[in-house]
Order: sequence, then structure tokens, then C-alpha cells
Amino acid sequence: MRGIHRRITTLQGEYVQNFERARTRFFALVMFFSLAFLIVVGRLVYLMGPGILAGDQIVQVSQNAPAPKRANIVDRNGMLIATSLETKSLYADPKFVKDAKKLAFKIAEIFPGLDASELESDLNKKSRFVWVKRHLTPKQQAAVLEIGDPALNVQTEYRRVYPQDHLFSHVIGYTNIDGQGIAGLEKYYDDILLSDQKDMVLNLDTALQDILRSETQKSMQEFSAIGGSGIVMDVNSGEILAMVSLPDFDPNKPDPSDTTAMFNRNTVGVYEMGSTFKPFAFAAALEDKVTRVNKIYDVSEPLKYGRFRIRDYHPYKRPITATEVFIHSSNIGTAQMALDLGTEKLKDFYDDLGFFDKVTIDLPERGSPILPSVWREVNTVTASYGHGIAVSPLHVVRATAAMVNGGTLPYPHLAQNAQHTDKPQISVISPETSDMIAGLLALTVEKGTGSKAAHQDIWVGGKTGTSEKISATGRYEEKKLLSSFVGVFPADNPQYVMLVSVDEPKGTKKSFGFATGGWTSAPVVGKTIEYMKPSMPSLNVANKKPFPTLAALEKFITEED
Amino acid sequence: MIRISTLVWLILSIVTGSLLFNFGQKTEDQRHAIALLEKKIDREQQSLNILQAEWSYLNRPERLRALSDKHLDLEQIKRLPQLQDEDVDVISAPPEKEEGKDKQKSAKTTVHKDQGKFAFSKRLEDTPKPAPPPIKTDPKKSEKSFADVLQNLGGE
Repeated sequence: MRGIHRRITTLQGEYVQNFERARTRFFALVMFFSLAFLIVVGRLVYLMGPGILAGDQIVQVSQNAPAPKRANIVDRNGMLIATSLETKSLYADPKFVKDAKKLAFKIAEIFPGLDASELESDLNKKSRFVWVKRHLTPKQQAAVLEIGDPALNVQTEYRRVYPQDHLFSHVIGYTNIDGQGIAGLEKYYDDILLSDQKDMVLNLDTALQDILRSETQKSMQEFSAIGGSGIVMDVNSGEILAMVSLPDFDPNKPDPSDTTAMFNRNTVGVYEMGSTFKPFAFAAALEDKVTRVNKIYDVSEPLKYGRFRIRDYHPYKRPITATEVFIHSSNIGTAQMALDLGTEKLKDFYDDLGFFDKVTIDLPERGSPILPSVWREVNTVTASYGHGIAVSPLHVVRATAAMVNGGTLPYPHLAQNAQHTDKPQISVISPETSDMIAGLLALTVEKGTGSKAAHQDIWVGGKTGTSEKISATGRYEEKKLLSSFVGVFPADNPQYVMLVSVDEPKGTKKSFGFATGGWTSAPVVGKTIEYMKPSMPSLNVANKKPFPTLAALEKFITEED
Repeated sequence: MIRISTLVWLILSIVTGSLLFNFGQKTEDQRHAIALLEKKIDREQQSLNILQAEWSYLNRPERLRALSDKHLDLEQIKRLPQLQDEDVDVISAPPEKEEGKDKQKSAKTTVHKDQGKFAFSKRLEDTPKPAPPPIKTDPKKSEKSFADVLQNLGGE
């Protein structure tokens, strides 16, 4: 009995022990599975949230990725400027190549210009992907199908096409064969064009762009110039309606080694812009009240400044009014004005106008202005008439717009929904001064150096500028000029500003040997306005209305020469 | 013995099963049709794209200009000089004529009514010494402007 009892207790003890062990094991198992489950849940949550973003970064653009579709670019009237068309591209998988030499020979037969030996070495590579030929024509595609080699494959790609050829070259830029923006708007808006498939609308006007281009080209031919440029901008909004730089290139087949053609004169090129700067010095002096339109300046003797002697292109033997200084473009008078104003004030004003920084526009190619390393008083003198300081033509366009639009600097932009225009407006001069400058510009065209830009029905204001280019040795070359004309119209209610520059023009018989801005560039502006007039509602006026500022200024012309 | 309820359930499951299969097939067919349509749309979009590019290419202003130069006999629109109110004053009767006061008025109205070249020249013939015309339009700009005609007739 006792033995049995003992046995039972042992059995009972064993049972309890076993039970305890099982419970522990079960508990461990439950813990293990809940933990595993938690890990899975955690991972899932991570993938749903931050993992998505992290995962995007991990995805790398393969070197062999086909060229993607980019959004269309259209002008302000919806005319197509750039589009992506579907094409087929041929690639090979070297793993399946049996006889590389034979295959390379067959392929080279279809594509003239393809090097068979080079292709053969490509086909012998260890990789699984080799581009054979991008963007096949339908005929070539059929011929490849004829070969029927299992190593050959066709991939759908997109090819960037610019139907307007040369017309927008520098503005639009171009892409490489993989569909990445390399220059111009294509580069600046690369991300948007790739991600957003909506058409990108520009402010440019195809017809106007063409007029400006052909007129500039004509002037270049007439004066045997090496280059030319032109910009038309809305003075209030900063919308660029046309931007031409010659020589240009065909973005369908760009040649980056041709640096002259690739060079955008309007934004990358910086030049001493000559007398087109005078309105700025004049506005600063008027604003500071150191001059008045009827103040008398003695310009009969060249202004001596240290070792420099400042002369006038059209010398006067008598004292003239400030109005005449402006319309006859007297360097001596303007220099005196700048000296009265003082170095600091002129420098500050130029800084306000943006001449010390790169110009703001939605293009990646922008040149830095060249400024005097140390700004002395003599630099103030020369800078007042646009020498010793080099800025891009777009700088001048932007500043001139502020001179006539009531005094606010606009932000030049090519795309209609450009982001960089959402900045505070900078007021540089008062509306009164602005009105005066517009009147002076109009008088310059009516009675002064810019007469060739005049229009029958529209008051055109403008200023010529002719500067000698600096040679490699650092000297001014009398024969190598940059002749410009900046025009604003209608001058009695400024809407547009247009700058045309012709690089190294040579005088002709017709121009009596002159190659100044008044001869080379002012007529381009005049003709472009004439062509532009019918399609622009703000220009479509039948007659010149009375222009009070002009009439008031006319009184300060002391003597007809 | 098969219970009635079992039979009912069996039939029901067969029916729903076949219906499900049927719907599945239909969905698959529809998907196929959608894919086909999408492909078609894509192809249409492509040809639209190409046509648009071609349209833009054919509409290059450079080409249009060359074509219009070749085939059309068009010229740049030129506006003929318009008469201003102050120009009209020029041909009114000279103030020294006393009986002309009434005439002066009528002369003015005639001009406004007729607005023709003929009326002007006729009046000018009548008036011996018209005042120098303050015409603003530059005669150099348009070779045969109306202002020129006026001036010539005025004998100056």
C-alpha cells in the first residue's frame, strides 16, 4: 500500500512536471510566433509609410534605360515647339549571340555608318544588354526583323523632335539621346518635363520670334556682322515674347563642339553695352535731383579726367540742355551728371538694377557681369555711358523695362508658370522719373540718334548704343563694334521693350560707312514693330495720340543742328 | 436518403459556381477589350502627336514666308495718311473775306460731308491764298501722301 502510494505520488509528480514543461514550451512558442508576427506587421507598416520614399531612392536609373517621354513644349498660341515621338531602338543580348562576326556584318548592312568591327566587339561582351542602334526608321525595323536573330530585340523609346528647327535653338536647348535635358529650357525644366505630361506653355510667340530672327539676320548680312541678338519683353509682366541669338543651331542635331553657335548672346554673353546705359545714369541723376531736363551742360571741350579724355561722337560747340545731352547721346554731359551724382549713388543704383548679379530667367545658361575690380571715380564716369562694365543684353532689357513701366523691375521669364517670378517687386525709380525717361526716349527717336526706329502710328522710344569691343590685348578696337538699339513702344504707354544688337558690323555705302546702333539695329526694331503691329491689340492704334511729356521736353531743344 | 435541404444546397452551389465562372470569364473578356482599346488609343495618340509635329513643321514661318512670296502677290499693309481735324481747317475760306463768314462754315461742313478728294481740290481752287497747312505727317515717309497733293495744289 505504501509502495503504491509512493508510486502514485511519483506519477503525480511526474505528471505535474510534464505539465509544467509543456506549459513553458507552449508559452515560448506563443511568444515566438507573436514576435514573428509583430516583425512582419512592423515591416508592413514601414513599407506602407517611409519605406515607399526610401525605396524610390534605391531604384537607380539603369544605364540602358530607354529614353523617356517628355512633355510637349508649346508657344503662347499653342504652336508645338518640342515633342516626344515614339521610336524603336535595336539592342542585342550578347548571351544569345552565336556568330558575332556574321551578325555584326548583317546589321552593318542595314545601317550605313555603323562600324561592324566595333559592333562585333560589343556583341562579344559579357553583359546582357548592348544598344545596337537608337531610333530606327520603319524600313530599318523591317530589315532587322528579316535577320530574325534571337539575340536582337527592339525597345520602344521616345525621341525629342523640334519641328521649328532653328527658330528657338538657344531658348529651348536640346536633350541627349537618352532624353535628358542638356541645355536651355529642356535642362532648366528637366524634372517637370519628365514627371508632368501636361504641355508646357511658353510666353514666346512663334511669328514674332521669326520676324525678329529674320530682320536681325538681314541686318547682319547687310553689315557683314559676325553675330546678332534680339529680345522682346513685356515691360510690366516680364514675359519674354521673343529671344533670338545668331548664329544658332538646329536642336534636332546639335553639335556641342560648335561653341559659337551654341552660345546664347542674350543671357551668357556679357558686353559693354555703350550708350544704352545712359538712360540708367540719367534716371539716377533725375531721381536724385542733381539734374533737371533743362539744366545746361557745357560739352564743347572734351572732359579731362586724369589721363582720360572723354569725347563725344557728335561734338557740340555750344552749351546744351540735359534733354539734348540725352537725345544726342553726349558722353561728356552724361559723365558730368554721373560725377554730380557721386560714385556711391551710381553704384548703388546699378546694384539695384541687378547689374552686379547674374540675370534672373528660367534658363540654366547665364553669364556673370564683369565689373571694375576696384570702383574708382573714373569707373563712375565710364559706367555712366556703358563702358568699363559688361552685362548681358537681358540685363539691359530688364533695367530698361523698369525705366519706363513706372519704376518696377520685372522678372524676365520664358515659361508661363515660371516659379522665380514670385518675388517681391523692386521699385527702383519714381513713376514721374519713369515718365520722363519714356519721353526722353521718344524724343531720341523723333529728333535724335534713333530716328530709324520711328513708326508712323506708334510712338517709339529708344536709345542707340555703340561700343568698341576689347581685343585680346585689352585695348579697345575702333573697327570692332557692338552696335545696339533698345526700343520701348508705345512710348506714351510702354508695353514692350526690344533690344537688338549686331556684333562687329562693317559700314556700307548706304550707311555712309557708319556701323553704329542707329544704322544697324534701330531699323530692325522699327521693322519688327511694323510687322508686330497687326497682331498685338495694344499696338493696333490708327494714330499717334498727343504725347504731353514729349511735347514738354521738346521745348528744351535749344537749337536745331 | 437524401434530404431535400441537401439537394437544394447542392443545386444552389452549382448555380452560384457556374455564375461565378461565367462572370469571371466575362470580366476577363472585358479586360481584354479594354487593353485592346487602350492600345488603340495609344496608337491614335501617337499618330496625333506625329501629325501635330508635322503641322508645326509645315507651319514654320520661314516656309510660309517663302511660299507666300512665291505664290501670292501680297504686300505689307500700309496705312494711307488720315486727315486730322486741324488739316481740315486749312482749306476753310480765308478769314479776311467778310462775306465768307457764312461760307466758311458751309465750306467746313461740305468737306466733312463729302470727304472726297474732289471736294477738297475744288475748294482750294476757289480760295486764292490758303494758310500754310500744319500737316503733321512727314511727306518723306510716304511718297505720294495725300498731304503732298494738298500742298501742291496750294501752290507753295
